[in-house]
Amino acid sequence: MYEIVRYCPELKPQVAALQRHLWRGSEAENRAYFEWKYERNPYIASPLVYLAVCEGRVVGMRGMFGACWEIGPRSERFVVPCADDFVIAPEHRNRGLFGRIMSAAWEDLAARGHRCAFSLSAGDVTLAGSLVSGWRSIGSALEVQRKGIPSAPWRDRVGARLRSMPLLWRWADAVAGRVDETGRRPFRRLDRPARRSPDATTVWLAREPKPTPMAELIRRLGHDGRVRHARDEEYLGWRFANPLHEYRFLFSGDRRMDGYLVLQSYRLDRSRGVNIVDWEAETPSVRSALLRAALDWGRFAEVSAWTVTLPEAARALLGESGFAPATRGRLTRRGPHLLVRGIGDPRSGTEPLLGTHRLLDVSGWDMRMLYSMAA
Amino acid sequence: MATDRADRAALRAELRALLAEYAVEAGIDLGDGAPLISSGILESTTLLHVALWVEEHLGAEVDISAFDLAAEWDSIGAILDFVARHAPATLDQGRRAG
Repeated sequence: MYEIVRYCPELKPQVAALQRHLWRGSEAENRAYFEWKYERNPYIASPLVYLAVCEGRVVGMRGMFGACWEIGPRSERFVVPCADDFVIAPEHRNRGLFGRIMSAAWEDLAARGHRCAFSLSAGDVTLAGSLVSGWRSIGSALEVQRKGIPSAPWRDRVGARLRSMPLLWRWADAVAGRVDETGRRPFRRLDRPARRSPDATTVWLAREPKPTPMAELIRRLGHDGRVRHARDEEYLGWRFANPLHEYRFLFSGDRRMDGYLVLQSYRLDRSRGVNIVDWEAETPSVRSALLRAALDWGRFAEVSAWTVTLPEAARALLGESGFAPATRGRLTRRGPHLLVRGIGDPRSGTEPLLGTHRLLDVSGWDMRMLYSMAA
Repeated sequence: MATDRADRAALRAELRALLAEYAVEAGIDLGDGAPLISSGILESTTLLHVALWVEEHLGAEVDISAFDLAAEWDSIGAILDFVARHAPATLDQGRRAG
């Protein structure tokens, strides 16, 4: 009844339609996302997307997008497929399709020479399904969140007074700052023209990335050998072209970039708030200035960050700025889980390796939301 | 002991009803020892519901990444054993299972 096949371009319209079970948005938006993620991927040219087909119709998919990771004192690089975009059409669920798609995927990936795979933002359903199919959890992302904009006491007082007045009562909540932020453009305050001027402050805002100076900064800051994504110019240029997300960049430094902080929001679901997806700085004061500018200028209803491998000083800074542990999923309460899985070698089922490097100890990772497609 | 057996029977009935609601097509063996995960009957969405059901009965969070889910929850009997092992009365250390 079901046939498991690898993606071919003729199936793209059906894949885009199926993806709508995953993401909101039109088929055109889903198609653009697919093309960006799999067809323009800098590391794996031919999309590693595995499909379940039933009577000529695509009813299930699992995508593995290419990512380039570096590890160890010599920053050895490895291309690793990262599992994402898992969807089964509702009427075909609970028929063992997930297992069948993944069996075909593992066989193909092993034949292509891949020895491990990552899954970097496993929510409740993915986590449950993955743990029974050979994936191992490194831990959760330890997501923190800062909610709301505290309203000034005078606004509360004026709001309370307006509430008792004819006609004017309808503006009471707005004056008191209690308007539901859901659905409004998350970057609307950040984008006010005054924020764009680099002259007023050493921190300045841009709508587009600056891959060359960003990559230079990352190179200058060095690599401590932990597993991390290679963030070179090519990667940064591709990464921020995700058509489903919107990004803003806070840069620091005049002649030479000495820090940046990247914010992201979801074009198709504005209620999901804003994420801090990457954050680099040469000094603690630059790091602090970037965060302060993001929060003061953006005044976001909700902003989140992953802290699992963040340096202690940066975690403290987030805590002092009002971030507290987030509560998201029902099983993934401290944020999505980071999963690894060995491929091909049965022994790697217990100890997935990247080259000769072990992966199950979270202290060996430098994990940022940017590396996952949550960002 | 009789109470324990009655409790287990009640839990078994609940769990079977849950599986029937979310996962299992009519006619599939739901005996205590029938494999659920290794046979592919239980998929991710249903596993999530089972995990939440277990948590509800333990009154505690369960970290499903902290044990071998495929081995420990592969049948109705195994899931009931898990609940019995981690039930509050048998918990020595806090209320966290897994």
